[in-house]
Amino acid sequence: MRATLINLARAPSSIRRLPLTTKMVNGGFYKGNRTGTVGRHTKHGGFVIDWERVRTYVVPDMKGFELTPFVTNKMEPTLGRFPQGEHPIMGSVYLRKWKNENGES
Amino acid sequence: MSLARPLRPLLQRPAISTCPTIARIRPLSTSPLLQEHTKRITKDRNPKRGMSPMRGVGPKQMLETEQYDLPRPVLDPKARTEVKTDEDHGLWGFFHEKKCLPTPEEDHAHGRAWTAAELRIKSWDDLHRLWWACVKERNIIATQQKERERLDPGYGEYESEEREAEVIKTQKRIRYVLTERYYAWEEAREIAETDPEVNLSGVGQAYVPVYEETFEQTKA
Repeated sequence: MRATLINLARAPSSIRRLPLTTKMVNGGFYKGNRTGTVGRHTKHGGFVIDWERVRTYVVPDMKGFELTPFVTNKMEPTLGRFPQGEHPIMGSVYLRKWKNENGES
Repeated sequence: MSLARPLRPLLQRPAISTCPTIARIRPLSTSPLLQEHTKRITKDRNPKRGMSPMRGVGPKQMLETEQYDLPRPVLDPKARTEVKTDEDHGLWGFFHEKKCLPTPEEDHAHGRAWTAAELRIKSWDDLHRLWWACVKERNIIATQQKERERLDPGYGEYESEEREAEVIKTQKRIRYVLTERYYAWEEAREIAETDPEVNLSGVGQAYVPVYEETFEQTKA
């Protein structure tokens, strides 16, 4: 684990060889954490939020929903079976299913 | 000697009062805006003035809480009033059957995760709601883990982690199925542009099937 290595290598000369973390350098080093950006920095040092980039979570109406994250253990796990030469990402398969199921409405 | 004052020339500004016994504030300007804040604010800026613990003199400003008596704790548990809570409060969604921690047997009594094949046949609405059912279950598990940190019973962590692993599997497979569906849809759309049976204009039926008369081909 990373933390243990740094603890062992706490001598000033050893830590210099390791990559910087977000917790180092008082304001002089920025390292993101894969959360993405929500706007732009202004030339005066401020930040303007771009609301198009801000995450919103759409929670559906859960009334009367009876499915749970689990399936009964008494049922064997269903495996996907596809005809020869077909796989779920094929557009032709999707189109054929669409024609059969949605069809004339 | 006469005390009569000499006649002043008309060019001079007339005085407000010539009587020396009445002292009046003579502002430099008569405009109303500048008349405000002319009165000097005399405030005792020293809140500790006159305070003396030796003489038993406290602060001049009384705290708001001093007007109420100190509350007396009810030591007898039977005499305490029951706290009324809403049975349908939303925060109960963080608990399973309103219990603090489940027993390891209860926590272990769960099924297996959904497989991709089982999820592929589900509609968008079902998958969306199933996702949020998984999120709520993980919230319950996280609350229980926090309680376990506080109470430190010494057991139950393993079953909790197993349960969460199954929920996470279901969530990952939901995302997988939805991305599969999206890629297939993208490809299908490209094919449909050249398909004579599909009408993508948005006007009229989208699917216009073309029935082939196969028996005609057998004619000589």
